[in-house]
Amino acid sequence: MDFDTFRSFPKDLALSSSLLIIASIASYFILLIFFNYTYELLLSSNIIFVILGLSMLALRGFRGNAIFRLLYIIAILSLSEEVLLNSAFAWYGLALAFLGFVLLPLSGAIFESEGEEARVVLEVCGLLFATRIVFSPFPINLLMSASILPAIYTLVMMGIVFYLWFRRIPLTRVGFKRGLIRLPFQILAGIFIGAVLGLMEYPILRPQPVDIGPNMLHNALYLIITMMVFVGLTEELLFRGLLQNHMQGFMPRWQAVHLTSLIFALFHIGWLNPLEVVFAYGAGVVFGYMLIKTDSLIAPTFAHGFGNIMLYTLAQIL
Amino acid sequence: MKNVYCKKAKLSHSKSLLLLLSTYVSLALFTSLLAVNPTFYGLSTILGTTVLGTTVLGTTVLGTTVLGTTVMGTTSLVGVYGEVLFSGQLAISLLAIGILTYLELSDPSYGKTKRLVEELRRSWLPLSAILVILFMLIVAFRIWAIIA
Repeated sequence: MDFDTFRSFPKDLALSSSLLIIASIASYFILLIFFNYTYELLLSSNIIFVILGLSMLALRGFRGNAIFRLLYIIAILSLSEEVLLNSAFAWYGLALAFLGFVLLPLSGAIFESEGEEARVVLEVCGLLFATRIVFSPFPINLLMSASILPAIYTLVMMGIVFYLWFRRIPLTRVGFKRGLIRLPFQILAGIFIGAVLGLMEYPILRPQPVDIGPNMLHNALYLIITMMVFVGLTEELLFRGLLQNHMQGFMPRWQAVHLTSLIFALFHIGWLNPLEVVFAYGAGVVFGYMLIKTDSLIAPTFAHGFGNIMLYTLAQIL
Repeated sequence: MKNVYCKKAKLSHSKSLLLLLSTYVSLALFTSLLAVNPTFYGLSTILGTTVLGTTVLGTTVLGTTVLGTTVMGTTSLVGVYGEVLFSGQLAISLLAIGILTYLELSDPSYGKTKRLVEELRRSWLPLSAILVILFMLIVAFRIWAIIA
């Protein structure tokens, strides 16, 4: 079902995303005066970000059946879970992650009459919370080793593969295809946009460089594989391929991109930087637009992966 | 409602997924071989969540530490996360046992079941697979800890 024309889609998306980004950055700097760089700043900025993001949807016709109300709740649940998980009350955050992991597939079963697309969205939201639970089996000392990142993402991918296999969702449905634009152009566009995003993200985050040993080649190889395959592909498959693609089945495209990016941004609260959350939202909008424009995950994956490579390369150099 | 994707699914679907997963496992093994030095200096987050300990306390917003003063006080986040991991392992174990029991009891071969029970079974099957893998990992790490 087509809810919006392709012409009105970029206009609606550009309007909502730019308004949210500007308002969130403005509120962040206003709050900075009151709270300085404290946890209260992180908390209040993210609450305002979610309220603004959801209000934008509510004011522009994001309403309907129970699924829409449930999606508002999912956004609020994601915010609460992430904020708690990254505080001294981490256990409550993990408990919320377990709650989302179990109850969202349950709600998918209850609302199965709303359609298969809506059901997949609810179940995938449950899968998002699984990304938090997969940390639990590892001993604390192992969580600080370099091998943990690929291990965690492999577990997340295992969950996604199980889900795709069980639901018989073809890989082409989640963006594993050549797409509408020629492959070299998609790759080039992904690398270019990724480079720009990496340059923009560095001053916000200023991360520590990746250092797994004295060998430069090992470092570079680790960075490329980790960022391009484990981070780029897994996150794009989960958020854009599964979530956004299925949301588009029962809501206008701009709303699907906006809501997916909002949830994607909330899963970046762990960086403890409100500006990073706003940046992740903007990046999510760009990746979501790329997916719709190219009808493939190639460009968003390259953009996401190369953006992270650029970020850590800058961290190494500067 | 019938699964709309059933008709579209091809024979190569399982093989493609298996290939994707084996690529991930191979690359994970390869990158773990690259990481000779086990110290985790750089990436402090996985899908946005701060990993642990020193990286958390060292995380800054535009140069100033966020946590550590207002929320944490003198409490060490390593200690907090250590307890959280233990509770998480307990929750995974209980949840895995609970869901496996539910799946067994709601098996259609035992007789006619309600529609919602069947639908829930469909929704929780992939979830149970993840929980079982995590449970096996918990057991493996426990055995490893005992042997070590």
